[in-house]
This record gives sequence, structure tokens and C-alpha cells, in this order.
Amino acid sequence: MRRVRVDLREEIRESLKRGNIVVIHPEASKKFRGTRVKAIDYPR
Amino acid sequence: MVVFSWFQTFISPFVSATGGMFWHDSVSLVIPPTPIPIDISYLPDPKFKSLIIGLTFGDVYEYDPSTGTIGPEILSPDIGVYHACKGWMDWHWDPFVKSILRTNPYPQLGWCSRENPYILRIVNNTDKYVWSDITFWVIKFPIKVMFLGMEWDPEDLFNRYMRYVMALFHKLGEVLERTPTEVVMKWMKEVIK
Repeated sequence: MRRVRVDLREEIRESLKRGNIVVIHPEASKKFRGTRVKAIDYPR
Repeated sequence: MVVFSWFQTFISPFVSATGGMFWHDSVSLVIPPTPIPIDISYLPDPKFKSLIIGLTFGDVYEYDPSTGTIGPEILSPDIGVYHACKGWMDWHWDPFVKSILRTNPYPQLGWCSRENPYILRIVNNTDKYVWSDITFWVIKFPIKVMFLGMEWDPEDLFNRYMRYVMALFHKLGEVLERTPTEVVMKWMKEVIK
């Protein structure tokens, strides 16, 4: 098993508990991560 | 980058003349098992007009949310995306199977903006969490570009340019039809000297 970056792991786990897809973009704004029907925001 | 060869022939002159810039954006997806498809939209940089020229689907892996680890590769017709590209590709289903995932980059030629985002409808009908990634290949143009001393919307100018490319080849075909074969052969020998 390959390990996902540690600082993302907890965030992914919490978001998945809510049944959400997790969009991981290093610069995506927070509001667009872990929401069921949302957007991949442009990095800023 | 073989799939982009047509791009280099006809699109590169336009990109070069109008100050377009090559760009790509990569995102990872952790997709839970869900009976309800999930819609996500790719919103490009609002400071530019963006022409999507390709998509790359990465490999798909099982994902364990309890440990945060990625497992073995998973290929399944029960996982995938519906997507479309305005003016270029109609809405259709891409299962995460070899024939789709290995077709990279996936050629596109559509304009994308906040008002007209690139939409992906994601499906995971398995009982597993999966990890995937997608890269969007983009040419970013200034909101307005200068050409022949005039200011243009790059999308309008691009559509006009492509019509002229078509018209040029159409006209060339007409000329060649009226030209005796021996004359055409003579031209060709001169060109390849």
C-alpha cells in the first residue's frame, strides 16, 4: 500500500465520513474540497 | 504527445500570434462508493480565456479511508466519468477501463470558462473507495488579443481562423482540380527540391 501525504489523510477521512468526493488540488480553495457537487476551483 | 501533432500544425500559429500560454492543471479524486453520480466542474483562471486541448486520466487505485493508503490498481466498467466539451465532444460515458485510461492525452478542443465550466459526472458503482487523478491541458489566452491592429475576443478570432483554414484548403482543392497533373507534379518537385 502506498501512503498518501499525511496532512491530507485526516482531511480526506473526515470528508469521506460525510460521504463526499474529495478533490485534492494543492492550491484549490478550501470551500471546494470535500463537497458532493462542487467545483475544482482555479488555483490562486 | 503524438496525439497533439494536429495541434502543432494548425493551432500553434494561432497560439504564437495571439500570445497564448501553455498550461496544465492536475487534480486528484478520492471517490466514495455511491449510487448517486457526483458532478464536479473545472473552472479555469478567470483572468484568461482558456482553450482545453486535452485531458489525461491517471491510473485508478483502490483507496482505504481508514488508513489513508492507496492499494492495487482497479479497472472496472462500474467506475468512470460522463463528460462533454462544448463544440467539440458530445456528452458520453468513459468507464475506467484500459481502452480509455491508456488513451492519453485525450484530445479536446473546446473553450472553457467560469460561465461555461468543464463538467465531469463521476460514477462509482463498486463497493470500494477509489483514488484517481485527472490533468487538464489548457492554452490560456488574454481576455482580448491584438491581431492586425485590432482587438479581438480570442474565441471569436479562433473560430474565424479555423474557418479560413478550411476555406484555404477548399480553395486550394478547387485550383488543383483545374490544374493539369503534370503541372502539379512539377510544382511538387520544386517544393521538395
